[in-house]
Amino acid sequence: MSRVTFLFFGLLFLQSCIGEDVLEDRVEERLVLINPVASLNPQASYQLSIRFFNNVGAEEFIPVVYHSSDEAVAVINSVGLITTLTEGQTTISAQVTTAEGLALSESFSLTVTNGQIEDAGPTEGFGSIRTTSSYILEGEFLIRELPETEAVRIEINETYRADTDLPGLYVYLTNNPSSIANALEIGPVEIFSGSHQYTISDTRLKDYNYLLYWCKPFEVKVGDGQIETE
Amino acid sequence: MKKIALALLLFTIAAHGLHAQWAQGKGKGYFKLGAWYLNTDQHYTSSGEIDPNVTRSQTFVSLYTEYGLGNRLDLVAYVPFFARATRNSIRSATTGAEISPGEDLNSIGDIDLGLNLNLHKSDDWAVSTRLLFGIPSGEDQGGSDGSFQTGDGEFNQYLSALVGYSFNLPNRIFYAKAYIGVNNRTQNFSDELRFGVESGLGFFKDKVLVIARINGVESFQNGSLNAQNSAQGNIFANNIEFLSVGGELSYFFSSQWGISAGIDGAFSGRIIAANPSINAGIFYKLK
Repeated sequence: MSRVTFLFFGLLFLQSCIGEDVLEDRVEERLVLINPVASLNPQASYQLSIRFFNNVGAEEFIPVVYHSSDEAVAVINSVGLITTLTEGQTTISAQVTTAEGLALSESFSLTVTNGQIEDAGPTEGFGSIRTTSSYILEGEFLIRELPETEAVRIEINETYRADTDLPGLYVYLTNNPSSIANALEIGPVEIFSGSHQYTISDTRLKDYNYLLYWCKPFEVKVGDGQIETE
Repeated sequence: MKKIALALLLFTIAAHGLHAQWAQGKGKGYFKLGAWYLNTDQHYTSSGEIDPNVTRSQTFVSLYTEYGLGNRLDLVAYVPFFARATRNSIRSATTGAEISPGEDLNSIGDIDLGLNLNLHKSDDWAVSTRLLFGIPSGEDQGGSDGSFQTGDGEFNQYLSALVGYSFNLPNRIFYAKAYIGVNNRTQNFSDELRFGVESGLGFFKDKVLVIARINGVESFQNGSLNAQNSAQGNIFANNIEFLSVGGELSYFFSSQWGISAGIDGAFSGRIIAANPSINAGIFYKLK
């Protein structure tokens, strides 16, 4: 009898060891132009900011090849510094080759002319919050860059509602809607219906492409909202 | 995640005694050293559907006792002297890197103490009532995120009525019993209605006892606690409901000693683990 008891409690102890779960977290790699510019004055310099997010949505620093389609108008060096020369129009492009051999490129049209500098990229995005679980989660949101700051404000409108039975619900900005591994934690969800907003410093509109709702105790995604800019 | 496992555990207590509605008798008793284990990777959500979750486990090693203080009055005690909660680590399928480390917590669990009073006893029928006090001796906010619980952090009082019928089969145990009770919970938790039926049948000259049971919990939905008004927003214990089905096999080495093993699982529920729990133990009947 003592053997049976010993065997049982031994098995129980082994069963109670911490195991390992595997998360399917692959996403498409992305090359993002953070600050494209529509126009610049001649004889000016402008530092282009590029970010590459790998197949799990983590930022990765890999070589970028820059190119100006008309080097009489503007040139761009190996670190993304644009130097304008004469009036005209050129296309600035950036290209990377991923570890898996995939070529990604982004480009924008640049006009060099005497006048006010114009940003080419959007400063505002939008999206719909949707549940990816059996819990209620829905709403619409806007995300906008705040002028003169390195900050964004997420404005969730009055259509939003979340299940109050949700355990440990947190909200994140992420480039991988399946994982919080490289996400920016905004904080615990404290509003479960109606409009509210979050202001996040040191963040720009294009730094992330998803709003993510995550249940911390269960380590599982509850819902998300893709950030669209066009 | 709070107390997903506990809800199933606490409910099995009522069924720990093989014939709980029959009083032990003065100076006699039933003692069981048992273990209960749940490994769960899915749960019933608030809408009753099943959602996945990170794999978590809950283990309780306990001593359960019914001891006759009088011919009709038993002392009942459930002491989970070792409780363990774990959460698996999470690894990326893409990169193989660890995304989230695993975690565990060991402590004592919530102790239940109470009395069982026999109200009626005949050759066939027995009726009793039971009052249990749930002492919040376990951990209710453990771990890095407060979700590792081995207790619910509230003092509850559970009053139940049990009725049992013993079928007169020659040389064979055969009984059926049912119970219904109200669990009065504090700390803004909703009160609960608990109920269940159980039947046992002996084999091999009653050396083997096979038990089948159905248990249920229905919330009165009268507690205000939810994710909105809890400090960390991680409350998950309130308004738990379920219907579970289970079975147990007991083997008597002698007239006093035996071992048992069982399994229970919710087939319908709300905010509770959707995987079966297993239990086993060794028991002694003091005659």
